[in-house]
Amino acid sequence: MPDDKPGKPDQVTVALYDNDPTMVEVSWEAPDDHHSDIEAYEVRFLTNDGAFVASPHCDGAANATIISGLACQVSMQHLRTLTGLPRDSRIRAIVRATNARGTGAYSEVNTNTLGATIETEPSNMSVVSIDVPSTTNTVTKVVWTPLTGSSRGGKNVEIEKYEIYWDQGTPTEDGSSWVSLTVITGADLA
Amino acid sequence: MTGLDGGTTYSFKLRAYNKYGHGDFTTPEVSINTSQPPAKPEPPVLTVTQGGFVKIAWDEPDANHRPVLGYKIEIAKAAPLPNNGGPDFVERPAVCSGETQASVRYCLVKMEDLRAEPYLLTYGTLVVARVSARNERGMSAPSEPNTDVNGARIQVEPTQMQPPLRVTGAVGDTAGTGPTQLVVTWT
Repeated sequence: MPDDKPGKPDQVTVALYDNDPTMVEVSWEAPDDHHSDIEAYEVRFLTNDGAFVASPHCDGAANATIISGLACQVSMQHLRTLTGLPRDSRIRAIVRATNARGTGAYSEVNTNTLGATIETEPSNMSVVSIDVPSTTNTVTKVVWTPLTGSSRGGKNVEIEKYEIYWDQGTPTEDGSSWVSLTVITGADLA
Repeated sequence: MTGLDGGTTYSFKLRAYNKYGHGDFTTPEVSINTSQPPAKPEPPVLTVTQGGFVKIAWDEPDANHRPVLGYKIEIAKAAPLPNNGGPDFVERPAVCSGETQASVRYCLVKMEDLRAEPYLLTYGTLVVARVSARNERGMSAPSEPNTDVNGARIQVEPTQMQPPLRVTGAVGDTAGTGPTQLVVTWT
């Protein structure tokens, strides 16, 4: 078989990175190199506008680790900016390989419905309120509705803690009179 | 939140964290001026007035940072609660309204009202009452009942008298009944 540009890769896998779940890992199988070592991979992400854009964090031409590891990692924050996709959107990507004979075709867009989705910081926090009946001279109760579903930052994202601030009246060094009062974590989140 | 000072305004806001960091603070923040129902009042003082009324008087308790708006005055019925449940206190605003009398903090109660339903107190019975105070946060615990044995006791009209006796004096007794005078005695 004569040397030729690389074959068309199979669909990539997009998942949260095991070593840092705030990052997304795109991985793929090496395509047929047609007897010429692959020298670069190019990964592009599908944007909210339907275009495919490259990320400098997945530039397989400049990073030998990407070529040998057949994977690259991109922070979720970078992906949100790069793609403009709203929260919980499936992250789609394509990849193509280059060898000395040229650049092969892009893979098909990944269609795995279990892949990573766009995640964010929590949002849509409901208004906090005071439980007046249980308030006394020395005790009060602050109540709020725990975040659920997508408002946690994504339907698969867990809330780690709530932090309550109170206005202690006197500005601190940063000019704000609001100071952290307590943090609700663990079993108290329920 | 504990360790607060009564009558002080506290404001709160919060935010949630996930693995990416925190979201925005809740808006608007919420505030509370800490307070609670009034403190338990002291027992009322009951006395009998010259007009034959029972005067129930009380003092204002610690308002706990909200003005006292009214009182609840309860008087014990003659019949206690079953199973040694203690005095059966009943509020009758028509007899003693702690709301309309809040500014002066006393009531004048007719003896006949205490002898009638639902109290049915009998002659010589010590009138026992208790008082609760109300502010916008709610009603206080009731005071302890008055226990002063020298307090007001039930009085009644005189019972029917025995017929008077016509007395005939002895001869020569100028103080006795005679042609020009009648001496009547009674028990």
